Amino acid sequence: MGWFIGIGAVVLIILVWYISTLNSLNHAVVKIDEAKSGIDVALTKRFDSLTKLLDVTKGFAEHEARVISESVKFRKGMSVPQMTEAASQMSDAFTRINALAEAYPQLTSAPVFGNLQREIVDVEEHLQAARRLYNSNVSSYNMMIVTFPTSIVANGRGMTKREFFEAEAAKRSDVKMQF
Amino acid sequence: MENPLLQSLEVEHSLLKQKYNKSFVWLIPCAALILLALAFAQYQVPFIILLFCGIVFVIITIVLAVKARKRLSNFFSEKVVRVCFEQSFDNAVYNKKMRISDSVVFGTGLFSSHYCDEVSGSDYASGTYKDINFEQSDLTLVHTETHTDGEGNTHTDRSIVFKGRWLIFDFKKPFSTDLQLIEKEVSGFFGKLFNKKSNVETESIEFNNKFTILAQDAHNAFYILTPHFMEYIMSTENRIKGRLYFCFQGGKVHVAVHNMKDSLEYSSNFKTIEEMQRVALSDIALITELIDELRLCDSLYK
Repeated sequence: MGWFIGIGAVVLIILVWYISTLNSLNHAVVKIDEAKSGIDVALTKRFDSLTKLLDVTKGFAEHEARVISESVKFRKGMSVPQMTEAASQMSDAFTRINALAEAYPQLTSAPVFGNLQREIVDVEEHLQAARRLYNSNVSSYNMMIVTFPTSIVANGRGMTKREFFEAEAAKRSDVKMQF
Repeated sequence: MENPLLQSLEVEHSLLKQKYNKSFVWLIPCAALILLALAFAQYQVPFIILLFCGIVFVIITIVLAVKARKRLSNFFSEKVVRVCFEQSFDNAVYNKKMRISDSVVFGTGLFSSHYCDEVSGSDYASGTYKDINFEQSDLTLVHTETHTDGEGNTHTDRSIVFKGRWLIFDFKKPFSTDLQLIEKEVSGFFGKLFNKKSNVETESIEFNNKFTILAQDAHNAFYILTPHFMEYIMSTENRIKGRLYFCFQGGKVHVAVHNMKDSLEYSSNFKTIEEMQRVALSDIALITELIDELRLCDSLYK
């Protein structure tokens, strides 16, 4: 009888541990998805602001603005690598608009252009925050699934490492120093 | 040649200090009466009369000393501290008797109004430095607990929850929800047992080990706590003695420095006006130090 109680208690403990571990892993997955949607929101905002900025620019340099506009591909619900690519395209576009504005002093002096530039800088900060939050959640999730004994549950449920939202290629190249 | 204003202040200060010192002269008759009372201890009536007179002189001494001390303290506040504030900041306002209100302090959620039974404070000041508006005051939050012992006697225990400076600055970066940072009391492994648990973990392990982060919204926490800003907070924490509390709320950042100190207070050790100015300015420097160290005037936030 004592043996049965002992084995039953051990099974119960394992079951409780399994369920709580699985719940915390699922919780981490939900957190990652939430953070990913935060990036999506920030990218959408950035895309909208960029579109408005391009509309203003079109009034002064229509052809160039259209070329820049066509270089940015964005839609909602992209995968993480696609989002990274879109973010990089938007950064490129913003840099090109700023370079273009230098040739048109009337454009830079327009208040609406200045306001949109500031808006984009703020949206950029929101995107960075969303990216850092996402990466922090991915980091703790990836740590969880490789740490014993949580790894047993993760492997059993076919959970694999998630991808980080990388810093944009253009930004990474900023740190390159040429002499 | 010495500044005439400084000279007149020195004269005023020395007169007030003389009055303060003179108030203790009353202790001489008081001591004499008590000694006489002891000499006549076997005669009940003269003993009681002499002792009574001695006690009256003690009370007179205390009243005069307290009054003289208050005049010195007011002199320091009005003639030194106020002037230092006015010379250091634009739109400076200083009031020794005022403090930051309870609703503002407890509204941050850093301390509970249910737990802190007594709130006191002084040295309210406000002004502008590098286009950043600020408010500050000394603050003491006390928790009292009344209990009755086995004999039916009631005892009240007082414990200080917070004592130090409370400062509020403009924070130019727009944010929607509150964020609190509380410096951890116990660091290292045992910290997990004693410190409140953060609900957001940043990518900086050092920052996570130093502060408990309580955010209503994780995205907002990351938006405010940029890697640079975390560095500024860490360097501020290294420079300033005492436990630091931060609350980002409604376009403002509240910084509470729990160092068990009363700032901008008169000390009997002050010899000259210059010394008073030096001490007042060093206390005031915390305001400019925080604005500069946290880069609150940084154009990036505008």
